[in-house]
Amino acid sequence: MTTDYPVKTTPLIGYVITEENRGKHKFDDEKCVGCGGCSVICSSGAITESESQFERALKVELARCIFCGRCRDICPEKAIELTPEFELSQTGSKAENAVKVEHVVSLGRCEGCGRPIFPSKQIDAVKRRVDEKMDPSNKETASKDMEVYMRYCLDCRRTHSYVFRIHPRKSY
Amino acid sequence: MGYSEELLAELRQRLGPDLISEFRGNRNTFWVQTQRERVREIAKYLTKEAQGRLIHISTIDKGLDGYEVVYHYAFDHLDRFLHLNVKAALSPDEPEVESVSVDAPESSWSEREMMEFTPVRFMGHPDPRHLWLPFEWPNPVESEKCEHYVDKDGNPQIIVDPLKNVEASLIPLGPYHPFLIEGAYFRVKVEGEEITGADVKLGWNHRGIMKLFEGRSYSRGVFLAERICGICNVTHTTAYLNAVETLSGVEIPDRARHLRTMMAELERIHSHLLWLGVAGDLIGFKTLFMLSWKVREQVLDIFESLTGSRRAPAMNLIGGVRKDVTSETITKTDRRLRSMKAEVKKLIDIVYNHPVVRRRLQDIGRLDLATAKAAGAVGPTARASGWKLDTRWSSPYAAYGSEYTTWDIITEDGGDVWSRTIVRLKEMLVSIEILLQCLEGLNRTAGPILVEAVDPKDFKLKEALGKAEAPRGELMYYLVSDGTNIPHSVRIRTPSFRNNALVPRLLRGHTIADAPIIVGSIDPCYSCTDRVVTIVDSRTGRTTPIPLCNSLSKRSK
Amino acid sequence: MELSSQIISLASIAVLPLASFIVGVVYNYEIRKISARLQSRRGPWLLVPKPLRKTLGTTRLFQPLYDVLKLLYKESLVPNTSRTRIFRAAPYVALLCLVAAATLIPFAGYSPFASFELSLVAVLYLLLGVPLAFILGGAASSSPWGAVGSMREAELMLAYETPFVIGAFAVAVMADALSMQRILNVQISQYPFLLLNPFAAAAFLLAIVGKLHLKPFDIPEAEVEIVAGPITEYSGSLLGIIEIGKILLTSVCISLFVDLFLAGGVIPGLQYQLTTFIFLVEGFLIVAFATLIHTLNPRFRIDQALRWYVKIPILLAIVGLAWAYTFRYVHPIILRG
Repeated sequence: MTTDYPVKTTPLIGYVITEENRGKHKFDDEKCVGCGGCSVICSSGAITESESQFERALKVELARCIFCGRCRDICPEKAIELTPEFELSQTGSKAENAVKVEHVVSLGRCEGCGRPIFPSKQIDAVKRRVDEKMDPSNKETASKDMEVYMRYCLDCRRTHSYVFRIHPRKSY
Repeated sequence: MGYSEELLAELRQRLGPDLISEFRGNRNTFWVQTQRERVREIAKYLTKEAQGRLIHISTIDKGLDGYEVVYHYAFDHLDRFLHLNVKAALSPDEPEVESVSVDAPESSWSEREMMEFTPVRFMGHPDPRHLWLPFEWPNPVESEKCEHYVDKDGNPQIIVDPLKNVEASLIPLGPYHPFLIEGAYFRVKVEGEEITGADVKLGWNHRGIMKLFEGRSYSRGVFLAERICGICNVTHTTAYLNAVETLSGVEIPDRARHLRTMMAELERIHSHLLWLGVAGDLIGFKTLFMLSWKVREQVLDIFESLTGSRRAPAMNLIGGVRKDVTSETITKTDRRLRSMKAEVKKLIDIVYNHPVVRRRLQDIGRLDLATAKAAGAVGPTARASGWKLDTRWSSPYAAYGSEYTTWDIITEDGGDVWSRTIVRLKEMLVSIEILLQCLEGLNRTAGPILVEAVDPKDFKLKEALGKAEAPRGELMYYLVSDGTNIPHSVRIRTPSFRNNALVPRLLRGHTIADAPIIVGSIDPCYSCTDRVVTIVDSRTGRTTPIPLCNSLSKRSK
Repeated sequence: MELSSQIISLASIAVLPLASFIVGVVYNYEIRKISARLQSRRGPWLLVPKPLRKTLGTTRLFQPLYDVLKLLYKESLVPNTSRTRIFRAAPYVALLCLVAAATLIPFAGYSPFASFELSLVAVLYLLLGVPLAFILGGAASSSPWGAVGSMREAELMLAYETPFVIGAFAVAVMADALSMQRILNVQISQYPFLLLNPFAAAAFLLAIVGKLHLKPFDIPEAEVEIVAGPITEYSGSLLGIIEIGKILLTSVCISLFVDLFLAGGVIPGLQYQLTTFIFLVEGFLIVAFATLIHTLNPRFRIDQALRWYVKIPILLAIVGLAWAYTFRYVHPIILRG
């Protein structure tokens, strides 16, 4: 007798897995800053980064994922968790019932030209890390400079570096 | 140290002015560059008188500089870690070198494989047929002329088919047969039930992995290596990492050594239990299959509690391992291993004491010591013929050296299927011993589990050989780097590559009933090792291979 | 009276094979369930757990029947190069022989052909049709597996038919009759022949293990060696007929054993219904014993099987026959004196 999998109706077949089992990804909404480190390290190219005008999306293609867990290891904010959920099969690559994992962060905008730059959360995270970890002798200068230039895209920074006094040789 | 000096001195004397250069790698590995004309006599000397083993022949494509043929000789059964690589450069217009497989038959398949991957030709090879590709590709011809194929100069080449002119029936064992887990094609000529001739054709599982390695960085290559085989994944990563860590000059910390050994030995137990079940199934003993796989489930549960994944645990990384174990996991694993030891002993009792099992396994598929040495058998297949050959002892890696663990190598003298069964069963007990010692070692050793990787620009060596002992035998990786973070060439020689070449020899003289268990006794793993349809006209006995393109066009008829 | 008993006889010719088939289905289920439990598996459910009862029903006791029925409505592919007529006819030949044998064998003490004097000989003759059909079907299938499988079936048949026939004749000698009903009557008045001639019983049982292709003798259908032997090329409804034949063969052989050696379930003085019950219970016990042998053994090679059969069952059968003759002549002397 063939029944559909998974046989959710019977409690007899219990799943014996441990918490360590690497399954579906879960992006923590608070912690993920959208840096894209997971897509760089991904062993099989399953995590892809795509950008639109307002947001950056990190998408995990579960069919390609080999569940190695390197994304979890490399994430600087420890935002990825591999839950033990392993029943992820779908009926086709473009199926409607496909399990999707996607995380979206909004991009900040350059105050000079209005173009989208980095995710605003990533900017906050960088500021926070400089605050926590940088050498105290350089920290003040760095924090003050960051307050200014982190609001601009790379082109605007270059164009206005003398005006904003963020040119590297400003102290000579 | 003395033995390697003697060997090199003798080699220098024999080669004389043809010795172009010499290079010493780390830990008793040497490279010698010579002219291509001298390669064959050197091979004869090194394999016959110096008792070396020619473990593989690699051809490296150097682009505009031509090709390079590297002959890997292993002397580590005589002097620990001693390997000698003999190189010869070939010009890009004339990439030909004389075949050594007449003198050293163990290299016959290596040469066939390299002739398929690169334009290098090994002249005088007795059996230059394709190993992976269909026999008459890449020049599909009309079906009447299929006994010939035409090479690039327009010269017809005759396919050497040893089974063509025998008056008997052909039984196709594969590529789709209930006795095989994966695809392989054993063409077996039978008279009644007795097998009078056999030939093996592989390539149904060929995925081009050596090419895939050459497009991925070293750290991504670890995960690719893991996916070559479903049964020996940890060993593939260990061998690959042995090669990469030799290239980069990194020494992994002690705790990582113990953890790597644990993973490898757990995998050996799981593989031997799997083999026991499959061997039981091949002689019709389904109950043994169910019982041994039930014990194997416990091994997989241990894997899962340690790493989070039953197979392909993805623990090894360049410079160590990724995940540590806590002391309570160690205690739990120790308890599980001890209870598993009792169950493994029960399985061994069943195999020893069941009269029908003995009768089916004894006295068939005999491989004597001389043939094993000549044909280059590895792993339990070689150890069951009385040859003490084990990479863990001859080139110790991870925690197999005598300063970390002590263990025995199991050998048997019979050389038949029964001996191979006994070797694998006893090896399971040895593996449990090593595991218990490793767990103790983990309790004693503290420290990091991962060291920093080295920038590929600062690699100490340009080429390296990494070996590991897979459950099936000696596994070898040869890596060539070009200073970037992507390897230039990767050459893999799996143990099943060697053992499968023995099968046609072993099958002759036995019945069809014995064929599955003889093939199964070398523990074939075709994923590790590697579209033609052959039609035998039952009335005239003519064999016609039909290339796939033709069969598609004839479908409308 | 005459007419109604004739009608009953005619009706039973249809009912008896059907009853044998149903009992055979349950025996087949028993083989699957016991071998599964011995291998730490589950086997088909005897009592389906409550959450699944809606989809699966209350019990899967007739699982073998469902497997057969599924096959019967599928298309049967016949190879082009085979001898089509023989290929198609072979399963039906086997089925007919078995249906005829099933009507001749007393089932739970009831036999419509009770008056037929040579029913034992007829049954043994009809049961030869089954391996014959296997051999012909396999040879006609133009497949190398069929050829090797028929060869093995022919060799195995030589091995197991000898103790089968000699064991049956030992019983006939002791009962001094070739009619199944008479053999039953002799056992009812004396003791079951299992006690009086255990050698013949052992030989007959071991022959049945070979006849039913249970391990260690499932050589003709060895799947790891020759895919499925003679039945490799069969599919769909023809395979369904073969499976029905296999189920009937199980039932017929077990009923034969119970009739020849265990007095067919009849205990003097007990009612008819209890006879059916005891008949079925004895059948279950024999099947359980055979399943034990089946689960705990690997498969023999054909030459090893032949050698083993000559060593043990044929020897036992000959001892049983000699014992039967001695018994027949010594027994009245003991009674008299």
